[in-house]
Amino acid sequence: MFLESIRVIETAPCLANKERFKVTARASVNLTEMLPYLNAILEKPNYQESSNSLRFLNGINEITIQENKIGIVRVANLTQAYELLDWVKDLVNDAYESRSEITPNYESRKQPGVLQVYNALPKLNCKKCGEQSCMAFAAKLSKFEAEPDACPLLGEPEYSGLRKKLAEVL
Amino acid sequence: MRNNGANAGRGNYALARDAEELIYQTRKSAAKLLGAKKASNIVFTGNVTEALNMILKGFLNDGDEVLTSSIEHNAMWRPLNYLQRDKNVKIHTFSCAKDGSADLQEIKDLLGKNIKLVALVHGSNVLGSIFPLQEIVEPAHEKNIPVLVDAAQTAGAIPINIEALGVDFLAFTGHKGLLGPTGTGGFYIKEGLELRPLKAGGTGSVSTSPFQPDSVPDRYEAGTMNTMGLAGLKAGTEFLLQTGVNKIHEHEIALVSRLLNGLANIGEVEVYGPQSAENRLGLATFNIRSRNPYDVSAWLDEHAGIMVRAGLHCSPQAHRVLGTVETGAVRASVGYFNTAEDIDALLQALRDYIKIVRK
Repeated sequence: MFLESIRVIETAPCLANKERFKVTARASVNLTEMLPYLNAILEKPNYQESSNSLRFLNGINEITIQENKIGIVRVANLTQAYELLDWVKDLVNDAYESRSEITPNYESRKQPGVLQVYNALPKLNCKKCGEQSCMAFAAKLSKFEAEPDACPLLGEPEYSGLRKKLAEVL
Repeated sequence: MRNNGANAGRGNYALARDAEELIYQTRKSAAKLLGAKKASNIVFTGNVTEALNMILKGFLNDGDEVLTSSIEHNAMWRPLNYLQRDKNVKIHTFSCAKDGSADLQEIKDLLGKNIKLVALVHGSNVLGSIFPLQEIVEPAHEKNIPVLVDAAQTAGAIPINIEALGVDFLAFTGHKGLLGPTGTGGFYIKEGLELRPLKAGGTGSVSTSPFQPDSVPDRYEAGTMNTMGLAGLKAGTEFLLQTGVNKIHEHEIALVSRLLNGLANIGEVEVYGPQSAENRLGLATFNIRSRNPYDVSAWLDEHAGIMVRAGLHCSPQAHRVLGTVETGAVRASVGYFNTAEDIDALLQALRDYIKIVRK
């Protein structure tokens, strides 16, 4: 078996939605070589060859794979986290078994413009995301170096329109 | 587990995560064994009684009507009676013959009433009979009535496929057919169904909410989990998955068949329940004519080292059907680790007992 195990190494509440977890897990092998294959078979993935990372959605859960780390956000509980990690494990192993029949896709998704992303943020410069301003956060988001969930305001009902807009931009 | 006393899912350190992962693996094995789609369909409790209480009291509302069988264990019968007394829940009971068989037409007729839930035991711990679930679930679902199954006697003992059967709730205990320790049990809940949580408290998730989380299993698992017990249940369910429940069932049927044939050849024994070993649980309930079942069981224990249970088996309803509610009966149960020699030893001990008391 290519990917033998995945172990959870950290859990923490999502900043944007305190009712959800984000989970970080470590795979028993480096998954970099499998990312172009997953990029070829997943629906609307976001592959970045420069950072060896792949991000994609499974329902409402955003899953990021980078080297041997797997991050999942918006998890309801730990049982669901383990179920999702089992799903990722099967996905990777199935792709590995069928890799001779899959044409790897090395294309990265086009990065959105910083201003385009900025226009989908609350623009309050509250710094709760850890950045100095919404523009700095937008720059990181546009390079896929930050998660929308890092902005707690986007989880509030009054910003649901912006959240939707940001999801479309990204 | 020898070096892990951490509280599962309650800390960001390796021991707590190991404990949580162990519970997840137990959930996964239980789901696979019972034919549930996902591990998160399985909720763990302390036993099947707790599971049945959580489902019945969390699902039924004031004035609801419930259809149940006439051979229920007290784990089902008592919570239903509390609901009847305190919440005006109306209990409809379908009748059963002495062999545990039910009249499916009577069940269909009763489903025509305003039934909110069908709640029944899968296999009787007294009669050894097994209800044909498919034939009860189908007409219930035609009327959009969910079905709760008490699988205390059947989980791990006979093949069960929840998805194929389509049952909505299935309660199980860990310490019988699932080969786990006492103090473990749980239930399956179909996705989309919701209960009022019977217990509220810490779950390690959504801690800011004054109420239980919506997501399963956390919604129904308030408080520290029985990690040690569930480690035992994990070993039990994994053994069953490796061995195969079919193989276990066939072995138990062979033993109970030997037991039934042997009992039939002892003149003074009256055996209850289905006379055939086919479609039967691995148990035989009987009485020796004019002998008190408690004396029989005590004698077998003392003189032959054989453990059988005497009395009403917490199922007075089933004994009412048999006409043994005043006397009780002796029940011998077989398991995968019993042998034909064990059965022969029991039969010989019963013959010895009869010889001694008839002197």
